[in-house]
Amino acid sequence: MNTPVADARAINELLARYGVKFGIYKNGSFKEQLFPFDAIPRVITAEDFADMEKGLVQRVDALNMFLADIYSEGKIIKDGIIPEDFVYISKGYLAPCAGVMPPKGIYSHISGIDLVQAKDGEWYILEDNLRIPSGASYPLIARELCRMTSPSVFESGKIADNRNYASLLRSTMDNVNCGGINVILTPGRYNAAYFEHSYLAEKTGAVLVQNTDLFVEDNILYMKDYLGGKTKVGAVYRRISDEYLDPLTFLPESLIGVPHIMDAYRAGNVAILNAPGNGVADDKGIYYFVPKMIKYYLDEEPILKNAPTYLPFYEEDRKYVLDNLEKLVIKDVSEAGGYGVVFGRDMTKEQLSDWRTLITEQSRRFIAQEVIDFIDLEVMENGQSVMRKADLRAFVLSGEKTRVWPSGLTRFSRIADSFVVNSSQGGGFKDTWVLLPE
Amino acid sequence: MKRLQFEFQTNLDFSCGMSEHCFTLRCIPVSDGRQTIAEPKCVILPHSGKVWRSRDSFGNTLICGRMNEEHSGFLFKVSGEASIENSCEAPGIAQPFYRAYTELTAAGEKLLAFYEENRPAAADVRLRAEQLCEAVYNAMVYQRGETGVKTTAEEAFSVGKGVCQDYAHIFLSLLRTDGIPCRYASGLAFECGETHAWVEINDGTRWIGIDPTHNRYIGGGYIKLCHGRDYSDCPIERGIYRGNGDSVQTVSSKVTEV
Repeated sequence: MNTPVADARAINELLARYGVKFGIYKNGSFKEQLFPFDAIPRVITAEDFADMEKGLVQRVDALNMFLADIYSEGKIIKDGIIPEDFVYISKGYLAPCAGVMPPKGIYSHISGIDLVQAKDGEWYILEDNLRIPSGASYPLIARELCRMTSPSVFESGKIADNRNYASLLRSTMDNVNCGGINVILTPGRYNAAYFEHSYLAEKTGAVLVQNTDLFVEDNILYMKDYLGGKTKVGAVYRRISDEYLDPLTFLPESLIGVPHIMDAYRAGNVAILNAPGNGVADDKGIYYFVPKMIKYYLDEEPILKNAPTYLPFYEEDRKYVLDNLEKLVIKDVSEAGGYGVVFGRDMTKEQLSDWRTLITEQSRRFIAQEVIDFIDLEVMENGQSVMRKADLRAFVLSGEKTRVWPSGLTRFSRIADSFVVNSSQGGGFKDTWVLLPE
Repeated sequence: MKRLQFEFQTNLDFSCGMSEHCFTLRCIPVSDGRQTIAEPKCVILPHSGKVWRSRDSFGNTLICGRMNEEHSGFLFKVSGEASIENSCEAPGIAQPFYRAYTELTAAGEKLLAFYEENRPAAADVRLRAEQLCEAVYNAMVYQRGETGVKTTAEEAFSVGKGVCQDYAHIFLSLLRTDGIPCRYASGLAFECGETHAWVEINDGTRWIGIDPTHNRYIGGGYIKLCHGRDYSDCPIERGIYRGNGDSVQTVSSKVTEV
């Protein structure tokens, strides 16, 4: 199966023509660049996927229960499973959401869980993205184009059709809709993922809107129409982050938010996907506690493993981290997108000593992990086959039931030996084929 | 018990016409066991636009509104009668987030050192708070113009000067360092022509109001309008509007005994 599906150049040209781009802010300026597609798919067997699916559903269900708990009674803290210090001072914890139960109790509707496969075949969770995980549209459109250029490959019926993402997303929105239309709220065309916003709107039948198209009255969210009328909005798939969502609750300088949307949400008149405040659960510090959450809420053993992680907050862990810094990877808990990640093995003696001081002084700010030697995937580069590190972002949608999309975004590093695969760091992507059971 | 008549007004004068004005006001005092408020009246001008009520997660009543048409001024006026127990206590328990630092109340180097110097010896929460309150009162000089609404506790403490908001933030910072749940309270005080800010600590069953600007427990002369973890959670007026000009705010309040 590890053969290119089609001429990668043809696909990349089509992607460019369709405007499949990724925006990057670098040194203060905005640049759009193509997200390079590699034609050799990542293939996941039916068996492997079945295990992964169970593990992901379990993990996302536990994370949703954690969020519902933290924003209400906080039992997991009272029971001493997670220290209070990791919750209420987290940047992602939003006091204005305390006591607010979102429609049907779902906080993370669309979860992007990043995994890597170690050389022994075992999958490890790298991080959970429960705020606005992006990227589903890339494998979706790539598959569509590949089906056009190489229809015979897909005729065998052995590869799970991934074109159901739109209907999964739509039913996820419909499930929590409080009466009214579905909209996708975008900050506009200068956002890094604007292509995705417009593509998903087209595919799900939701209306693509910007903040100026919406307003709140009597705690009800409406969309304006061109005739001066208004239509009630029942669910907002928002692609702007929490702090910009409502200038009257969060950052007052936000020009992309909707004033009073939080009032409509608190009153239970509109669903916001994902719910505001989820940042408290995908914090890199909280990651350490997810296996404990699974045991606590579900009374089950975690199916998928975390990468071995240490919290310098705990004395024992701190000692280990300081003693073994050379072989660990250090992550700043408040950063995302591959920023704030440093490898001990790349540090000079002086840097190691500076980092030891920093970790000792700000023990809550960092986590340390063993470097997982994850597998390389074959990538075509200038007509040559080369091996590159790759991860997988799996998309888990929580509607009436929690379901895993039988596909995913495989991102690879374009730099040999680099472990950083994020698209914001210039990586490329592959289609991900999940095979159907024989 | 005191019976007070209160009147509170805020005017915003814009240097040019503003439109698409959205606002949230936390100007309606709530009955809480210490203060009992007879149905307060709220007038908002101009009349154009839509006004409705909401509630935030801290338990404050909100007046929300939206005015699309251009206007060059905005005012809201709240008036009513309050019966206030001559006490500083109101029943209630604290949500756990009231123990955590916020951006405005996080203790930096200077406040941590100050806390160490003044670490209370008493075991009782109230006595500990009293001691910290006195320390703030003695360390600070009340002076306007040195700080603004975005000044953090650490910054105000470094300057050594500030207004009631700064006193409250510094006190909150010390209380949170000490592990005492506490919140920022905003309202009206007898003998004060503007709004005032103080602090409420929680002892497990009650909120207890303490005013660090005057180094005393609050009494019958304090009417609370709203509360939150710090000022930024509960400004009395917050709004956004479209227009290319400045705004000047004037606040006046009158509290008289009936």
